[in-house]
Amino acid sequence: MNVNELHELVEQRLDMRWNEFTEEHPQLAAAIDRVQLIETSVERLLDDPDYHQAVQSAGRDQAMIGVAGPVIDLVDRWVGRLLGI
Amino acid sequence: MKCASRIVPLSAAVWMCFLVGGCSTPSSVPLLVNVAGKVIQQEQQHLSDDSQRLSQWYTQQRSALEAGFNADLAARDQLDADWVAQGARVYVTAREMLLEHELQTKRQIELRQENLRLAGESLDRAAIVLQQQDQLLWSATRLRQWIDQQLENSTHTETTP
Repeated sequence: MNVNELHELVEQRLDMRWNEFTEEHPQLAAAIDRVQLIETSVERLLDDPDYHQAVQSAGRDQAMIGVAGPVIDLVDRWVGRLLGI
Repeated sequence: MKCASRIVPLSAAVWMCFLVGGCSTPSSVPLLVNVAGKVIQQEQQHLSDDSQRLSQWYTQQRSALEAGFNADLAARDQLDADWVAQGARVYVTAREMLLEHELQTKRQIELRQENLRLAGESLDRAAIVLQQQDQLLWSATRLRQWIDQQLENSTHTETTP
């Protein structure tokens, strides 16, 4: 999985929770730079050894990694921690 | 002796041609060094302006986050612990990310400032070296003229009965 694919995955998973967060905290959500939020998330995930382990355990098939459970779980955990959801 | 008297002015002429044609600094070089120095100064000024603008932007962003958090808090009729904790956590994370980003940007600007400073220093040194070179060549030319003069005088004395 390359950085662009991870970027897309983080964006996708963040989008799924962003609306919920926006409903709860509209003014704070408006003040947050989403692009920066995604970029920082990608950077932190790339620094996380758990992420690399998850990618490895997802197997060698590059096409499958993007939809592989361990990677998505990790990204979801990260996004959830980030948005407090 | 007649032959020697011809050789001396000839060598001086060759020496002068050599200096003018190929050894002294072409007049465009100091000009280019000067222009490059001015460009570096302008770039340093732009970087300094950018740095100030960015600093202001980050301050505004921090204020916007704080205002957003407070506005949500004020708009809420009932405050439950989970909601406050969630808002506070995201607010803190967003501020942390902003700070991280600001520090990264600051480091990049500092690096560019340092590179410009070094480039400016190199240009200053180049200007000094060019000046020294020209002075040296000028001195050498004068020394050569003096030697030629001495040689010519001595030749003249020798040929005079």
